This record gives sequence, C-alpha cells and structure tokens, in this order.
Amino acid sequence: MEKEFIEIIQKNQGIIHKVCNIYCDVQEDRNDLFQEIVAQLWKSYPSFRKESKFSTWMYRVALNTAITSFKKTKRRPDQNRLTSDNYQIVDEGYNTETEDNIKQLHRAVAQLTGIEKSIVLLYFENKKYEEIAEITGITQNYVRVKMNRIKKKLKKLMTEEEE
Amino acid sequence: MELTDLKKTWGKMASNRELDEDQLKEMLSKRTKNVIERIERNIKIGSVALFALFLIIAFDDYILSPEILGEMNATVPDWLAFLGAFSNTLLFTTFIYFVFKYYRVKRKCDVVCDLKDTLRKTVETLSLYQRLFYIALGSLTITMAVGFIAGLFQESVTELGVHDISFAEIQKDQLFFEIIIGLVFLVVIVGGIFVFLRWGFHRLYGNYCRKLKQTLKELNEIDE
Repeated sequence: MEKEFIEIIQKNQGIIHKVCNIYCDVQEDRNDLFQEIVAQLWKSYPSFRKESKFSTWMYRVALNTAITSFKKTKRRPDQNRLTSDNYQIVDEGYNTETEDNIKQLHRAVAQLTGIEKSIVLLYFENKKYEEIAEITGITQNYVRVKMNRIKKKLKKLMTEEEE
Repeated sequence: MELTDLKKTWGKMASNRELDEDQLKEMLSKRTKNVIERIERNIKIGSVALFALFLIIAFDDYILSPEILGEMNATVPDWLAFLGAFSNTLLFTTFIYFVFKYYRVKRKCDVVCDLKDTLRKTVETLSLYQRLFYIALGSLTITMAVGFIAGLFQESVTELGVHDISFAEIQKDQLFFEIIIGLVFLVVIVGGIFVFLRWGFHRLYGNYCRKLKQTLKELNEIDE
C-alpha cells in the first residue's frame, strides 16, 4: 500500500505544494507543512473510499491540515520569502512582468483569512462551486457569496497597492 | 490587476521542488502528529501521571506514614485522615475521567471530513482538553494543599514531642502566627504552581484556540 500511496502522491504533489505556497510565506514553514500534509494523507489513506475524486479528497485533507496546523509560523527576514527559486513559470518562459505579478498575487493572497485562502485556491484551480462546497462543508450558494466578497477584497487590495 | 489576471498568474506557477520517491518515503518514516493526536497523547500521559501520583500518595497515606507514626507512637487525627482519603479519591476519579475522555478523543482522530467538521472537532477537542487540564490542575492543587497542611501539622507534632511540650502549653499568639505563616506559604507555593501552569497552557494553546474559533465562526457566518 505504501508504494501505491507514494506513486499517487508523487503524481499529485503539485496540489500539496500549492496549498503550502498559499498558507506559508517562508520556505521552511512550507517544508514543515508539506511533511504534515503527507503524514495526514498517509494516515487517512486507508479510509479513502473512492466515493469522491482523489484530488477532492487530497484537497480536503491538505486544507484541513493547513488550517488546523498547530505549528507557529516562523518570522524571518525577507530573504526566505517567495522568490523565483521557489517556483518555475510553466509557460512562456521567464519575464519580469510575470515575476512581478506573482509577487503581487502573493502579497494580495497573504491578506486573506484561512477560509478565504482555501476558497480562492480552489477557484484558482478551476474547481466548480459544487466541489468547493464539498471540500469546505459550506453550501454552494454561500461559496458564490464568499467568492464575490473575496473578489471585492482582492480588487481593493490590488488598487491600494497600485496607488 | 483583476482576479482573472491573478488566476492566470496562478496558472503559470509550478513548484520547483518536486520530491522523488525516496524523499517521500523518508517523510513517511518521520512521525508527525496533528493537534488532536498530540492532545490524545497528552491525555494518555496525563492519565499515567495521575495514576502514578495516586499510587504514590496512597502508598504514603496507608503504608509509609502509618508505619513511621507507629514507630513514634503518634496517631493521625481523623480530620487529616479524611482529607487524605478525600484527595486520593479526587485523584482516582480524575484519572478515571481522563481514561474515559481519552477514548472519546481517540475516536475523533481524523482529518478526512470537510473543513467545517474538522474545525468543529478540533475546537471541541481543545475545549475538552482545557477542561481536563483544569480538573487535573484543581485536583493537584487540592492534593498539594492537603499534603502541605498534613506535613505542617506533623512537623509541629514532632517538634512538640522533641521539646516535650503539649499543644495547650503553646501561646495563642505564637500558634496564630505560625498558622498565618503556614497559610502564606501554602498560598504562595500552591497558588504559584497553579498560576504558572495555567499561564503555560494559555501560552501554548490560547492563541491557537482563538484562531480556530474565529475560523469556525467565519464558516458558520457563511452558512447562516
């Protein structure tokens, strides 16, 4: 079972990296959270009954772990924060505009609450409202309401930053 | 930048740190516990500590002390024997309560339900843990106070025996002064331990618990 689990995690590790990126500013915290999520996925794996998609189940466990994580985030100087060493740009190659946009994205997302981060992450990952509702445990209607609020909040944050 | 642009930017990002099979295997070999598992472990340790303390105090009250007092031809007054039995019963009841609650927490140990359920379970478990902590702390405080009073009394009886003086011969002012000094020590030592442990608990779990409750409130507000 361990071999099968590792294969699946290896294939889907992008999900965990994205959750870690959205919840942690510092690389060391991201590594700790990654480890915690993998451990929780492994412990919960026997109870995965294939009633939902594997990715839905994985998002659920990863987000639950990130939001209820007991470890205190470490505050360190800015050199450990998100830099181009921590990610790669998957298409069109590197350019400074994309890098600026990524930094702006991270600054904006960092202002959101834990729940807002989870909803916006699932939205960014093109999840349908139905799936977001299934993962978070709130109704689809309210996912819509919350998403509208987040859009407004992010727009306000971006405008403030541009000024 | 609009939200759609943010979404496009997000889509362009991928992690630079893809882990291979060996790294993932190494991760699985490390023991990482979530907060409910840690609480479960702490309750287990607490149960063992309470039982050990109960055994030590019972051994002292019913075997060691009667033997020593027997050699000294002294007897334990009824009120002190009652206080000893009371603190022992209190410790044993607290131990049983811990064991009972341990199995309740153990059943909750998962993160596979939705976010709202997970948060609710975690907050409930933390509240239960807080309750258990205060019950144990209360029991320990009472036990320590009883032990302190018994020790003080026994020491006074021994001292009087050494100097061949009876209680009736002690001046009331002196007795009153000694009782006051004893009470001050009791309050400072036992109260200090209580306050210190309470402060430690709040420092460790206070902010975390507040953060979780705030997040749950946000989710509940969403659903109303």
